[in-house]
Amino acid sequence: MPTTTRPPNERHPAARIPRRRPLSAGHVVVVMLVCALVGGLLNAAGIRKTANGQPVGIRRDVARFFAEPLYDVSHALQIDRLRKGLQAVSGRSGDDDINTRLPDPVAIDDGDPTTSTTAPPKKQAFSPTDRMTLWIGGDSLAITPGQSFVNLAPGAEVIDVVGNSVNGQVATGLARPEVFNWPQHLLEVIASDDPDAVVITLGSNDDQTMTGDGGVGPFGSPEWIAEYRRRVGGMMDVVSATGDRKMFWIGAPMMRNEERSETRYRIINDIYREEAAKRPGRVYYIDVYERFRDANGSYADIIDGVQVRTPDGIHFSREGGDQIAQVVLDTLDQAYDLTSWRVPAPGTTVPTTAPASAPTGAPTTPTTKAKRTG
Amino acid sequence: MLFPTVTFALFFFIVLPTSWILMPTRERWKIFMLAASYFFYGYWNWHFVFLLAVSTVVNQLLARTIHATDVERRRRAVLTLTIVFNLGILLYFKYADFFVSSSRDVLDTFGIDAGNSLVNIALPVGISFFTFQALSYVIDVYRRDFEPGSLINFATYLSFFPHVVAGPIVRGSEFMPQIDEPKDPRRIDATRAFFLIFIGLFKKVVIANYLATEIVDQVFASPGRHTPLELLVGVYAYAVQIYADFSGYTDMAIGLALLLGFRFPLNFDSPYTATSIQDFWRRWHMTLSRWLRDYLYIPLGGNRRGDRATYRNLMLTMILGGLWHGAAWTFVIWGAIHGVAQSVEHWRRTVRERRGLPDPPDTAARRWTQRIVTFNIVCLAWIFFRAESIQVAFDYLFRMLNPTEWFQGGSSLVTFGVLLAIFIGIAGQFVPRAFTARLMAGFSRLSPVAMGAVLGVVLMVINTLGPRGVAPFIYFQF
Repeated sequence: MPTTTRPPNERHPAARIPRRRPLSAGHVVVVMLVCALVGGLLNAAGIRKTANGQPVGIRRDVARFFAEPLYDVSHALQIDRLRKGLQAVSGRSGDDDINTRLPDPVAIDDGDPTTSTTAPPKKQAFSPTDRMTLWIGGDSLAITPGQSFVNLAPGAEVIDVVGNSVNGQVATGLARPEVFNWPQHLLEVIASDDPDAVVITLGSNDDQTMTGDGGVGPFGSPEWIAEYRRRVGGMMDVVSATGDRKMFWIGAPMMRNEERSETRYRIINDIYREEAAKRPGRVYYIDVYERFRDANGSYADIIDGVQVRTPDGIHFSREGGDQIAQVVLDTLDQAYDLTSWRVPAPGTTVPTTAPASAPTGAPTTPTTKAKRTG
Repeated sequence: MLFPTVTFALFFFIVLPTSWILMPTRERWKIFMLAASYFFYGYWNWHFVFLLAVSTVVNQLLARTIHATDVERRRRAVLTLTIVFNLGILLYFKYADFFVSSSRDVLDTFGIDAGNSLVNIALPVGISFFTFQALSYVIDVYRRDFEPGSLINFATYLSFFPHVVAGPIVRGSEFMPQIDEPKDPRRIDATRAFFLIFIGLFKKVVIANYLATEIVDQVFASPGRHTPLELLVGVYAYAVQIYADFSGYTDMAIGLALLLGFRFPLNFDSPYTATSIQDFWRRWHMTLSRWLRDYLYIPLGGNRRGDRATYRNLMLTMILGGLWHGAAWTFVIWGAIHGVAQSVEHWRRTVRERRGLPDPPDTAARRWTQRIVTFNIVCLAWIFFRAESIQVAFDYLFRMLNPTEWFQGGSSLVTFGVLLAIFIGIAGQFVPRAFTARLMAGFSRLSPVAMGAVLGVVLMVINTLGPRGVAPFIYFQF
């Protein structure tokens, strides 16, 4: 512990240091106003994007009322070029772009799985030498389960997670493409990483009036449901309509605000489920809603003695994230062949059932192994 | 309401001129500032405004009671009540779940099912800060270092918005006399204030957020998936992140208070230039450090009761300092590492003194060696501070130090940008004070319009390089 501390300002004597000229309170206000004006004009593109991203309502209207003309002036005078230049230098060009275009679903005849009499198609197989590339991301609810999956995936020995990280975009969804345009982002992900599987969590921020192409409100109206269905289907097709890529869509969990969960997230989850069902073999809906109820059917923070949710009653604890990650891995195991490489060739010994090395925080016996290698 | 937001800027645009206009009529100023501060605090969660109000009224009552009597037994009893009340608030809001879950774990090991219920209490923002300030106020009154002020003065001090949520931990004896002292609205040290605010903004918005998203969050979330080099750079990055985050906030707080005519003590003094752990604690979170020294370490006996007592006091103080940050064993270990390191330093000093050996020569090479060793001990402790659990911390540590892992795989998170941000965060602490002083003096000679224009450009740079939205400050959770 410090026992001889002198007052901080006396630590370095102020000898020979030039004096600062004080300002009056009025001049301080002038400095602040000029700073706000200059900073506002230089940052106008960013301010406009922030204003558009406000919750729909009076606050957004007011913010846009000021931000749009500010941007027009800044753009007309080319004052915004300084910011653009800096963004280009720092590799962040396009940060201020507002893209509200959302793709329509693609008409593909997937057949009717309930009446089909043909044998199910052979599952795509992966092995340690032919590994699956998997992208995982979504809104803030994707982050903890995504991190858990990053830890869990090495146990399967056939999955590479893009960047070994979760692509979490807090406070985003499909309702507000001007805040974050998920379909556009996934197109970029596909172009750069070409993942075999896309695991996404969305929905918890979407119970609001929609903006962008086809924007409509209020939440839950028939028009809203039709438009949200279009957006969900469009995004599912962006990922899965071409090639062998599959999409795994994790719905919103039940939250502590049970009324909101029942009247809002159920509607959103139903749309995910129904749209996924229209794309059999391409899109898989992972329902985690029921998983977080107690014996009485109410929301539960703790299940089987384990705290699975954070104190906010919305997000997942590490243990909750681990559970979701395991469900994702199990679903992947159903959709793909992840384990046949373990079956020994004639004359060879049976490989061990345990993963080669259990990663940090990962369950020690992923069901993927236990089912196939026993 | 976070400092680096448009909402706060609008709030401050109203508060600043109004504060100076009302300053001559002091009582009106106090009511206005109290209302503004409560609005600021209630913006997070208005329910906790009542907690702040109750804490204010009860502590003032206790301080007045202590001051009103000379009967030592009664004074002691009221002081005990004060400590119980304040620590009780902290224990309830911060530590209840920790005790419940720790007890449940212990019972579990004996096969006793203690049920599933946790209290799940929402943590009021800034509770550790205003509780410590209130405690210091009453203790100073007990020690007769300070006479209690009026209720409105105390309420204004405790809730003053620049420091209410994350410090610095300003003492009543430092702040309350300033409330009633005359202030000249024509002589505001605005240059220093603007420097602090904009440097704080840069540290928080650019450096801390960049390092958090580019490397720190990822390596600490899954250390098993990253290379030892990424883990090593990750912990250095965290050292810079937490410094930039916390010192950035307090720089802004000090600057904002200065614009309102109030002086706060410094909270950081280039901590990574420290040549020992003791020196580090003279430079890191200085207002907490001196609080622990004056209200815990010295009352325990400090270093005046022999070596054993000194080691005990050092360990106790640092472990409790760790627990102040939150209810987790990782914070206990963090505090223990600092306690052990300071005990070793004390032991070495004592041995040298007993043998009558002179101090080693103070060479540049020795100073730099000491700095590097100190920085790495601090970083070792940061691993425990940042990790989600002790298990994750040890996984991190063992993987980072495992020689067989060092040459496997690439290190994609170790980018030029990350290394540059770490360099700026550390090198910035070695900038000579005279250089900054000259820069400020030169800036202060500009006209107000030119000053505003320069700051506008700086604002653009910070805004452009920072992320969209602002991550919460790390120390808000403490």
